[in-house]
Amino acid sequence: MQRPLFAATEASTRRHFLGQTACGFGALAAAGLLGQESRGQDDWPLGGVHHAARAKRIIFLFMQGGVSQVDSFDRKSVLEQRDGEQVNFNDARQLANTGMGQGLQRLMKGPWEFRSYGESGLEVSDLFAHMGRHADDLCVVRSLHTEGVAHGPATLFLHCGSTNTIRPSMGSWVLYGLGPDNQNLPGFVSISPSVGNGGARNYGSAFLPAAVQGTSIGRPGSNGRDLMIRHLNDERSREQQRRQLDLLETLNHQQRERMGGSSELDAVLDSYELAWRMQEAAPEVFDLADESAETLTAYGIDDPVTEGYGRRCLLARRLCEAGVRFIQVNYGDNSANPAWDQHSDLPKHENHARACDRPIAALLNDLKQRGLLEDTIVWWGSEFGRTPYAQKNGTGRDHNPGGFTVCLAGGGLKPGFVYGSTDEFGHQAIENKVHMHDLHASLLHLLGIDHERLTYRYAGRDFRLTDIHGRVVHDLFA
Amino acid sequence: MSLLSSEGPTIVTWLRLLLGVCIALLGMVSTRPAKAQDPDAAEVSEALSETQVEFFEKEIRPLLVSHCLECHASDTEASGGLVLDSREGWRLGGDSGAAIVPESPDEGSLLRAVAYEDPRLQMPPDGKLSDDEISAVRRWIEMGAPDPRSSSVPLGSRESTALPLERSQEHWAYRPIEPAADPARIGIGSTSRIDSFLDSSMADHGVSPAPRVSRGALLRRLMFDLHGLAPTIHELTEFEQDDRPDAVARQVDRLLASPRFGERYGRHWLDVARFGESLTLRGLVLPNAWRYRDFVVESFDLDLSYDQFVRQQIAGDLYAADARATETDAADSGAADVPQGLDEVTWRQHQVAATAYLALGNNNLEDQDKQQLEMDIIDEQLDVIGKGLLGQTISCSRCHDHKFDPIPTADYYALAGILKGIRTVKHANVSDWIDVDLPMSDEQRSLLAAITSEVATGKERLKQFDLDIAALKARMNGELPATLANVPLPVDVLPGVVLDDSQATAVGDWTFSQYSKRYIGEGYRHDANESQGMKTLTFAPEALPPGRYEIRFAFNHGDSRASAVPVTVFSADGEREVIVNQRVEPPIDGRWVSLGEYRFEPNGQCYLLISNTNTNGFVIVDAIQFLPLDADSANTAPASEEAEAEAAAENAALRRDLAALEGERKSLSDQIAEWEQQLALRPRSIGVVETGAGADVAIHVRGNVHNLGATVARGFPRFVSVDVPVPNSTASGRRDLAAWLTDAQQPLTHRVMVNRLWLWTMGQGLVRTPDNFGTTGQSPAHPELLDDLVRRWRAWDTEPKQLVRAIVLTDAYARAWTSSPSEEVSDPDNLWWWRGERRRLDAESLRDAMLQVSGELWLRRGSEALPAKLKEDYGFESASPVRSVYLPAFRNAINDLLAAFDMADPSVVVGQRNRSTVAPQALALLHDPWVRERAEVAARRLLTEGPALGADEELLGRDAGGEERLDPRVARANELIATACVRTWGRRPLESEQDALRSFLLEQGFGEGSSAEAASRDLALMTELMQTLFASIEFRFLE
Repeated sequence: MQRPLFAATEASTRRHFLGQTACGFGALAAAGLLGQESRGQDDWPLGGVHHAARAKRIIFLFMQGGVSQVDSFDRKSVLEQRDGEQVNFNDARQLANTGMGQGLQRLMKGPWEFRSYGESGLEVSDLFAHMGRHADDLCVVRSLHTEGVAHGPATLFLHCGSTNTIRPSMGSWVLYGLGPDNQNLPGFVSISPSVGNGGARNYGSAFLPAAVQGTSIGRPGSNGRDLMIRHLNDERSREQQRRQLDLLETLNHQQRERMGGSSELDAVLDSYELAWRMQEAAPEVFDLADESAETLTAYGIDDPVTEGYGRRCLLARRLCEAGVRFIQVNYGDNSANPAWDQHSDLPKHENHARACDRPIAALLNDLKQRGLLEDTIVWWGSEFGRTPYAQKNGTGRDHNPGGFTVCLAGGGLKPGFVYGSTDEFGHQAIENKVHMHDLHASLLHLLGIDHERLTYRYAGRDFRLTDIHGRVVHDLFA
Repeated sequence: MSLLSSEGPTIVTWLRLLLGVCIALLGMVSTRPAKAQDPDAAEVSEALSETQVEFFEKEIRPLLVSHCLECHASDTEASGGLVLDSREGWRLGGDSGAAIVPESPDEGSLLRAVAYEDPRLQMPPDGKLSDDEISAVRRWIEMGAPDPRSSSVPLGSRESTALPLERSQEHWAYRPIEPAADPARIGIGSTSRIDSFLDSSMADHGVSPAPRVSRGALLRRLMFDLHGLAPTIHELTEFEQDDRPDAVARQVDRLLASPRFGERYGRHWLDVARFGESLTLRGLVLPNAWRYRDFVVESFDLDLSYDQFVRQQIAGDLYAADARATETDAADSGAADVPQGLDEVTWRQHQVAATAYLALGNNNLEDQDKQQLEMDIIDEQLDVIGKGLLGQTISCSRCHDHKFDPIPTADYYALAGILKGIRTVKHANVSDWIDVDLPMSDEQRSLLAAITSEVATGKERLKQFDLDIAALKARMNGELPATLANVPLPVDVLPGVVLDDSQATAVGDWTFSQYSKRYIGEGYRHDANESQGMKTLTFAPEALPPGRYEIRFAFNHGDSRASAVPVTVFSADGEREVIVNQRVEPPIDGRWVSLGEYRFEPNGQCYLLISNTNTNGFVIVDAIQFLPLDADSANTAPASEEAEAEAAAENAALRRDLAALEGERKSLSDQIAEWEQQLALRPRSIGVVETGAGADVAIHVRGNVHNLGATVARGFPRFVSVDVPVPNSTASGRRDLAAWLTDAQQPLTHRVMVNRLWLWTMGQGLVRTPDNFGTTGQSPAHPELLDDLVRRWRAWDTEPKQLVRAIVLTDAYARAWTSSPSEEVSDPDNLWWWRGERRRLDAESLRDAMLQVSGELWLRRGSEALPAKLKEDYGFESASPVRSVYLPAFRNAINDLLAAFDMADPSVVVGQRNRSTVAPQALALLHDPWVRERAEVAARRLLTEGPALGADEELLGRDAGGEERLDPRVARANELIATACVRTWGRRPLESEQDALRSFLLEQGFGEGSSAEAASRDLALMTELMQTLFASIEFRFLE
């Protein structure tokens, strides 16, 4: 039997036992979760832990900094009609700072035209004209709301379901629940994550086993040619490395016997072999050389403007094919006011849209053509949205956690569908509100996981991604 | 889904506030606080008219069912403590009062919540009800809220799952330390008192002990356990030759006396104290956090009593202040408590630095709700004190009574009140931690005062220089200072970065003008005194070098101008609004007003916005000036250099004057910079300060900072009864807390620490959940041994070393890890300690031992200084060969190798680390360039120095006889291999190992020839071999 890459042994006796007897991590989680109710996953073509899954994996396109919903997917013609008018709003930042949010704010229209796309007639601004062409694949949620007025707290909440306390990230929970689909690759990859606003905590495993931690690849803002697993290889020839590994295995086998053996020592022996196999498997996945010129062009890899995000998106498709469970494709940077954070000079949104719109559309198209969209969830979104009014009457928009848009597509989601709405200005979600916890719960549901039953016992209590909250929004499902 | 509590939060604040909630199992609900009694609830239904019932059934019941009862029914979590599925339910109200006051719709919170008017209280959470539904609710309440539904379950009496306070003594950990009782086997052959406890358990359970490890293996175990380092060849040899009966005890004493012990055990404590030197938020570096590390390491090194150690971390600053105060009264009375081995100033500094324990939390200082942030910080402190010192999950009681342990919410807020009396941060957009001044020697103090006053005078002189220079420059531009007042000034004669109004981004129509001649650049702009609130100008300097600046705003004044122009500056410190009166003459040169000092970070927000909101006259905008305040950025503003050169060419005399003036200015500013550097070295530590307004705090209902319940007197958890006075003054009460924590009647602190010391020494605790001694933790298999150790430790004044010594000198400590089918069945978890725990090198030991083998380890004592001016930890890598405990503990830049090997997460209390075996560890050992470099340095050392075993061969386990006859290449390889193995494994290779290693070398030509290529081949081969040894089981594990 092939051993999983991340064979884990852990302090807890129960899990230690499971880890030993169930041959490592994948089996461990499934055994831990299913317990007595275990039913053959063969019944469910896409797998699933608590019920049949509709999707096997997630690609999360993180737009760091906060894309403005009223300038992208939530058109409010009232902003065009009443541009410049002073209107009373409850401002989230003022509310948090002072406990009093009410005040006059100047409505501000955005500089972009909206057009209708596809049979669904979804209105999308010219910022995302390429994504617009996939309107009939998108499931657009216009009523998202979340926690945290500043980037730090809101970004952590988006990833870990908590604004401050140390919690595992969503990708880690997914991997903990489902186990890896490919034993030779990490099951959770975050491509070019920012080190700011929570940094590694956004793909960390916290108290979950180390094996489910996200593997970060590449630096933010690069041209995308740095996307490789750390320390996967060095300058030595394969032959040299094998000779060393043979020597090591000779020693380790003897020493394992001498020390009386144990599953932990077996795991050490395995880990070297697994690393060796990963060295073989990973470059194949990470090297884009076998992609056609058309594909590279489609993703915008031939254009310096789109090359960086294009390479990340194309890698995401390849990781998806290779069986990685959770792939996060970050569009952001390391600064305190990241990428999409246009407090002043809203038109700068366009620079960012130009860099990622085309690659995202290419990814959607590519997944669809290859049949991968069937069982892959694509999730596009930010940590929060932006206000429909000018910040301090200036030229930009402030943060807005009270109402914003995420776009979903793929496995089990209704295509060409819009759910929920914000108020007449696009400020607060009012109809069919979807909290970030609800989004987490719903996405887990599509993966065959009941968010209330995906728990981990730590410090005397059972923890889950959605804490004590979260509601599955069945209306989003096809 | 829906529902609300009275006075309650919106779902938004709820979710935030319930973060710390410890609701483990849905459906388990705590006992709710007492609420108003409703004596005649049963009779109400009879009084309802048919119309009322019909209205309820038609309008209200369906609404409740579809929007509210999912969360607010008696069989649910009952959010906010409110149930709406019976009249008895809502009559009881929620956690914070009445939801419905019959006939008074505006009094209860229900209508307010469904009307969505209060942004903190909006229900149902998934969307507002229709206007018709809302008015139906209003009418229903106006009618007196007729409700025919009666509850079938008794309300307010739901069973709590927690152990109640009055029965807390049923749980072992809360009971007093048991009086001494001799173990059964005393005197019948057990080596030590500890062994006699364990031996009798083993005998009772029919378990036989494993044999002792070999002497070499025992020394390696002792070295890694007590020092975290490998034994050197010299140490191994010496120990092997020592055949005195107390050889082991001598080694133990030697190891305990070494400073390496403090570094090792200090590191263990740093895990518990979630020690870090930066915040993940923005990677902000805490420049003085290292002092806490040094306090901890030195405390273990000096064998400071644990009671003292704990007390300093809670209230060390207060004790240090006491000492200062008494000094003035009686000469040296405050010096009495200075531990031996330390001078008084160092100890006073340690005392203050110790309180960093309360301040090191990885908090999200950017939270915009500062009340929330303060309670989050207190919660973090309670978590660290709770788990770290008491083994209690106190922070579970933030929102509701503890689900399992006897910790009511009131006890949480009794402790929270104490911590509320100290300040840990100063608020700003991103709140700032507090660096407190440390005590200094008299000499240091007077030096500091002298420099401070020099700097102040120097800065005054600098200002004069600036004025003189500006005047001179103006003259060189053909203007005379006297006439400067009312003429246009070009931008480039002005110091700093100047943005003309033409460079601003305009919202609304701004009128260009040159009417008044007192302008800068092309002209100025005004708002025509129209469309108030509709116009702004935004100034955003491109690529302003980060640093501190004074910002000035230029306009021409006049009676027609606005008297209150709002100007908002967006800087690294958030946004600040300054109101400018344009009717009076600007104080600086008649042109400028200062908007104050601001700080800008790389990529941080940096702009300024002038608006005509609520203005009462013309708003005039001429220019904005950013004047650098840091010495560094001052030099980067040479905007005027070219102009100077031209002007100077026209007037050489002026130029010489200017050069002279600038030269003087430069040397003065350099001198000031140097003084300031010295001032920056003034000892400070991250810490806390008393607010001086200590007071009791109110229970935060469901953890909500905006929903306060009854005020709770400050005090201590009541699960144990301790006779310590409860704080009630304007002091925070930290002294009392410190006294309570270390009081002998309070059993947890000592039990928890004895268990930690056992765990750090034996590889596994007597209580297997070191941070959780509550009812959900594991009970000890040896409660009587634990208590016996506590009593003995108290007799040793809670000094760690004595206890560690007693533990390592047992038979139990020296047992081998063996596999034994019968014992593995009867005691699979090794509760009776029949075998040694299998130990492996933890992250730090692994790194340090590699540096030892390569000969590079730098055994410096104390923290290294962080790179000067390091503000953010992003991407930081240290190449320093210091012990791992001294590497900067940056939370965003964790050392790759340490992270791969389960280093403790520096953001949370870690009493016991993970123990994972994963492929990235294999990748790190085989491909991390750092590891390969260590292997290469180790190989070079070995090849250069040659074999180090020499004549001691027979001592280290193998008879080398006969090797004289071997091929010299073979013999040399064998000798080198033997040295390499002893360095890494602490023993000679077995024959089979030696054969494998030698074949590896010789088959690839090792030792053939003497050319330069041959030498580099040999080095490469030996590097491969050393790295293989680093990756081997024998190096990574202890026998």
